[in-house]
Amino acid sequence: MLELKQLSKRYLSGTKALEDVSLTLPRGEIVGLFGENGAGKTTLMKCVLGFLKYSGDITLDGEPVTRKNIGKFSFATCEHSFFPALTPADHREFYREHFGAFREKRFQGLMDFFQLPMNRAVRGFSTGQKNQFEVILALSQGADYILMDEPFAGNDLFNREDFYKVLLGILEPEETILLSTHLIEEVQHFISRAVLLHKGKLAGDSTTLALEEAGKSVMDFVKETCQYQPDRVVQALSDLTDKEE
Amino acid sequence: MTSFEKKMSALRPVWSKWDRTNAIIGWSFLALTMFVGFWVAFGTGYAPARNALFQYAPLKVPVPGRTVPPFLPLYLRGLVCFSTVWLVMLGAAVQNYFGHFQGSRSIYLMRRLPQRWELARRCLGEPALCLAGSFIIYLLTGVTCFIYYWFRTPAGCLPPNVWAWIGG
Repeated sequence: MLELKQLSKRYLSGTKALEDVSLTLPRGEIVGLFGENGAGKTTLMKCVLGFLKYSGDITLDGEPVTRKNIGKFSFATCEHSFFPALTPADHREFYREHFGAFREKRFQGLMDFFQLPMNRAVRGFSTGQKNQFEVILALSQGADYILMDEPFAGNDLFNREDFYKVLLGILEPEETILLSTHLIEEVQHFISRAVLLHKGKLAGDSTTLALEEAGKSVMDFVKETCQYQPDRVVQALSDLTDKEE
Repeated sequence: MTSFEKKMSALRPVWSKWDRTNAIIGWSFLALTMFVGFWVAFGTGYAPARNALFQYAPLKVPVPGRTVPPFLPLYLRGLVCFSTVWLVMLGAAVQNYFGHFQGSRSIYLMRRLPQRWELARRCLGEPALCLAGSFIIYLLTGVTCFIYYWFRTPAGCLPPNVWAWIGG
């Protein structure tokens, strides 16, 4: 179980990126992490992975996250964490060497499914292919917790749809996904839980089952929790056109 | 890849494979450059001092009582070359690190590897090896410089503490 207790992060500029976020992620969940730009989603993931200093506690199965258990996390980011000059085959060698639980069969299967070339340098891939490869690496590492930070930016709809189906098909019961994305309407049908960040704070946390029983969609939940004002755009446009007249 | 090539590649960034031919060329260039540089540094200090042992008009005769400087200060002039190597290797280490931010953020992968020293080894390994190699070249050059110093300095013109440079 991944546990975050009163996680806070303030950057040197003074920005409070996270404020007292407490969260528990048991094994086997597919959790959607939502929030506006600057809500703290990426910061949260980077704190979990130890990339940023923070205050509060982050534990995995009761232990702090150290080099001993960091291999239980994998990370797919829209910034891409692969080596552009290396081929997928080179990456396979690297992951095999450094991650004892590397899933070779899954890696090969996903590479074949997405028809990515094994012996071309990744820098020669299209943006969509790079995103796919990034996610393939994250899924094949053999991690228990797979953190994905907006991994679909630049992928077309059909690509994303294929990916969702494959993801649901290959995940094992004990594997946990924490998926940060703005594509709420696409992912709401397969996530089991929605966690919402708003201005660095935990604004909402609900299972999709509970939302369904309440007759709400994840989108409704997000809009309500963020106090989305649908007439705001109309009002702004009205003000703008009135001023010009 | 042989075992040796793998070990050498492990001292370089992941995207940079060790190549025997390039390594031979690189090390030869480093050794030659350093050897010449140290000798120039030593020679530009020793030559004027040796020339000052003589008066040249009307004939070249030794000036009584004059000696060349002790070897150590002349030898330490070569530290300028060594400092240059330090700076270049520091630049190489910095470049190795910031290479993880170019084209992607492979730094995220390197920083979450279970092997604690992997990133440090790949950024600092080869620069450290070059520094160690250049230090060995500096020591070996020092030996050749001392041999030259010993045999080229006229008898009686060596300073009294000639072995001080090695603690004698």
